[in-house]
Amino acid sequence: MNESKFDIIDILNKLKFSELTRVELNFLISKSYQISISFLKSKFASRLDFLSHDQQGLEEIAMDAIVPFFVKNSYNVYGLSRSLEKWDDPIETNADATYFLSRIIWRRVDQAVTKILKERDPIFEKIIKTLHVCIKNNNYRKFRHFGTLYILPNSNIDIEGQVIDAQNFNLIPIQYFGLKQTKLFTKIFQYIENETNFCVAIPLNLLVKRIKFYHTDLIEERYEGHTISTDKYSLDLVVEDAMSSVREKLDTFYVSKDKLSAGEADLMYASFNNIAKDMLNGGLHDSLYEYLKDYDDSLTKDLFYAKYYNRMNYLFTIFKNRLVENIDF
Amino acid sequence: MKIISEKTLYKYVFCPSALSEEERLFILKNDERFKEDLDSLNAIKASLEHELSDTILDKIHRKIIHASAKKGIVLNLINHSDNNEKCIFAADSVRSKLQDETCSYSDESNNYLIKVINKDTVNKIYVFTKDEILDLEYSVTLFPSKEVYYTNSEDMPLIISPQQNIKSIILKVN
Repeated sequence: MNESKFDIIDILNKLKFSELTRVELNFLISKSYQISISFLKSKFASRLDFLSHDQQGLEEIAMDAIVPFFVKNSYNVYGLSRSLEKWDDPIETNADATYFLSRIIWRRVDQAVTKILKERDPIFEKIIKTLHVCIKNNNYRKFRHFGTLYILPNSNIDIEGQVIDAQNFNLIPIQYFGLKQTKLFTKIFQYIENETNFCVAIPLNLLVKRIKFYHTDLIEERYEGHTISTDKYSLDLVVEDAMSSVREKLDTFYVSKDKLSAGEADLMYASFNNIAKDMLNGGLHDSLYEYLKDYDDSLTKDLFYAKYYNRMNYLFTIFKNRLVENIDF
Repeated sequence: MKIISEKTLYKYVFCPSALSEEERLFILKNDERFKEDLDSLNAIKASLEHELSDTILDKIHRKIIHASAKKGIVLNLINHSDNNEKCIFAADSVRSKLQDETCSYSDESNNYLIKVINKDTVNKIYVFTKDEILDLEYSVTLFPSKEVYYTNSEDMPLIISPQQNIKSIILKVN
């Protein structure tokens, strides 16, 4: 296929009024995917530790991010067409058209990455949900800049100037991330305004990660010669409680009713130790099968899905729910 | 401090002539400040100059088909053939003579084909996908009855009893 004969602006204009040919559709899909994968690699690959060496995993995320644009709704309208209708800026040149396509794809990629982080890390999910409530209650503004979601102090301002990057965000004193709700946001907005030259905008996912880091790391800081013990709890206790709920379920339900042997229950319980560790350190990096296989080399996928998957998935739900209900942000 | 928006940076990489000289020079002199964003934009620009492999394109198409099927695909009757033998016995009932036929249903894009064999007092339903996607679970909604049945690709044919006169089918992949 000779792609060079098409311009994105011509294809988008045609999309508004009529069906695309297969060749035109392929052209649009190709360009969308190329934007998606290059953006994912340049912005996120280093932050998604479990995917940084997994080319296939990155390709899947990039594909899944753009697929909804090419699914038609019940009125036979592409998702991309609906995005085009909502776009306010005029599209008069090919650069405008590429910018439109890029912007909506950056947003989708960021959403896809956030979704993965939430699925693999229930602590991340709980923190981000809590923050969203706080953002809404305080009328902070959500603003996307190159796909990344930033929080601004009020709804009347835009991002003006350079936004804070990960390196500089990680220089913000760690104790700020132990503050709650509005105090947290106020303190960090003030820090960025007074201590840096960046525009006052907080990157949401980075904020969640720092909050989680604060709570999963017991630190005593020395500040100007004084020891400050911050008022934090240990997540170890929370994990211990969640592990107990798994053990109890295994013993009282599965073993006592001969649904699992004592040996099988012990292996499952042991695999939850690794699950807990990974959850505190960025999220799950593997499937439940792989976690159990770590303790039983001979375990095949067929056997796992036939005999253990439903039970382990159920225990994982209990574990996850117990973990997050005991954590207060 | 000069305000440089996301769109300004975008134009700097993709269409520098659309910027004022002041803006272009400002970004050029301060490119370290915008390094991360400019690197992303340059990576996108470089990737757009290459063609995508057919393997990746096919994979995306399969994902689109699968995602569309989750929403529900309408398959309409495209043809039916009479399976009756030419020799008709006098004792044969009119009903059995009319009901032995094969009907085919397809979606607009011909990604899915359903064959319904109407025989005796039942419909036997077979679902075929263009891309041989394995281990799928489906629901089929038959029209005009609007009855819903669940099946999977391992468990064909789906038997409907009593037999229905099916005009169209909505297929949903679970």
